[in-house]
Amino acid sequence: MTGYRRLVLPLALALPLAGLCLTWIWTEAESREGTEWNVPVTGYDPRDLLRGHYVQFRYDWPTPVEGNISSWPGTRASLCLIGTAPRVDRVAVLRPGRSSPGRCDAVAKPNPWSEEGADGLVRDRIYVPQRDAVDYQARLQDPRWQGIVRIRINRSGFITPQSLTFRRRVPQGSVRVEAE
Amino acid sequence: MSDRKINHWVNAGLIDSDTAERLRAYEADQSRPLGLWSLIGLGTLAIGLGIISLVAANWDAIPGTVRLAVHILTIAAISAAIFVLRPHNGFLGLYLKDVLLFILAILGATFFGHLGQVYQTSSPIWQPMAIWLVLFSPLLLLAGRGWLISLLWVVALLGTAIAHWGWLAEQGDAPPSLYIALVTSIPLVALLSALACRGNSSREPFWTQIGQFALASFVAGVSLKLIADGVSNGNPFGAQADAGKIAIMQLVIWAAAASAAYRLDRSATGTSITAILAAAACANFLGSIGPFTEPLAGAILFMAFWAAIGWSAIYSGWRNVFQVVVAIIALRLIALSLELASNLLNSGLGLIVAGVITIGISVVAYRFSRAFAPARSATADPVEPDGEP
Repeated sequence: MTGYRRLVLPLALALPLAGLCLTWIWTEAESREGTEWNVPVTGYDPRDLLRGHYVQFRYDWPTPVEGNISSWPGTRASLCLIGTAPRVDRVAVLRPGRSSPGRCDAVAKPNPWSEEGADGLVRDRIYVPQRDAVDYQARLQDPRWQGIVRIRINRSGFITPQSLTFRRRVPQGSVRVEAE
Repeated sequence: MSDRKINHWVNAGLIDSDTAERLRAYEADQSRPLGLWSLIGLGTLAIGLGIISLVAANWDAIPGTVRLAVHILTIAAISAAIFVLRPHNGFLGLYLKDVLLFILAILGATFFGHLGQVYQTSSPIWQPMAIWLVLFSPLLLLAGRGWLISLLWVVALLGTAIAHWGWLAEQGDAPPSLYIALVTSIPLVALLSALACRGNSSREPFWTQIGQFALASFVAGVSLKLIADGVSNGNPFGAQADAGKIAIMQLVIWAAAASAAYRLDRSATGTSITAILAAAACANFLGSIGPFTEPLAGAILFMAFWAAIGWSAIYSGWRNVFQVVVAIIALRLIALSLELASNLLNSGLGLIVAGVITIGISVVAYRFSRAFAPARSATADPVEPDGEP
């Protein structure tokens, strides 16, 4: 066995290991960039809130300036978030070729390669621990609780849900109590 | 081998008692403690399943970073085991190394999914597949020995190409003609690599298998395309694609590949592969530009392509391939008879006629195959039709 051949197998074995570690580091770094926002959500489909360990929900964006958020493929609409992270004051729908509504604090685009595809601005899903899943489902259906999803918008504008919390809906004027 | 069978042969006068003694001695020497091995295998399986259930039951309780670290450490441990087994070329060295390589490759692929679960990310499937291909191809191609690894690699290569094509097609705009011509030629990259590496490698059967899988998938792809050409006026590559332009590019690329195959392998096998590639290039080109939407013309083109494969099989003595060719041409003939007289299945008499045609073609094909199939080679493994020098 020549010296060259002795090196080839260790290198070939090291390459996948090094590559996977680099992918991990890169994913870790990417998960820390971007801005985080709190968005109210509602249950997406009462018959199928849980698919596996995922909770499906629908974003309840505060006061969209212009109509509904389109969710069909090819529209390439994005969402202008106005507010101070993590609080969203209002959103506006940005359509290609239309004039911008002014300053945006963050712009969210549907990630065509997520499970939701072009519906990414309207609905999403989050992986939850199995033991909490039933509780989450019950609270999403319960009108006394408001679901809040913490999302991260990365530099590409893609949304990644980070966590799901609930706060009790209280009559107008009262102080909101943060729960769980 | 049981003694009963040997006694049976001695009694029938097929072998003498000396031969029987030598057979018994040889079989006793070659015998493996299969019972013991299966129990060890069963035990290992039980331990493995137990570990998987324990991990699965506590999945949420284990922090993501810990899970990913264990995943990476398992990959590292298996890599180390493959390295340690490197000088062993007995049973352990050859078979265990291949199984470990396979497990390593699968663990590597699942790592991307695991990352996505921990970091709540998602990406088009071709991205992790392409990264996996870049990271694992050198290892698999350098150390693989059996069909497990050769098949895995060819499937991964073609799967990545198909996933990327699907992703591009969903982007809205039609993929460029050159892209479609190149992506449909990817099996030929594997085939030519196999031909190039086969002669210089100590693992000739492994490269032969890669060549076989690549050629088989290419032939299957071309056949499907020829069938799609005949089904309707629709374009098999999507309504917006320029079928004629793609066909011209494929003609050029596949002809170049045929010429390269001939240069890489001057043996009968190389000539046969060259003939198949040239036939594919011509049939595909004619199918795209010609008026082959008529059932008869489409079927003739399809059968001409497969007849070229049949010729190659006779030329190189690929007995099994020849039998497959005869079967496929027979099936195409049966399908053609139903296409031409589509009302056959509507009446009782028509069904009888269709049945007679089917039986007739089958019997003729069977007799043809028996009469003209290349003789079974004494040395070549019957499941490896491409195994000729």
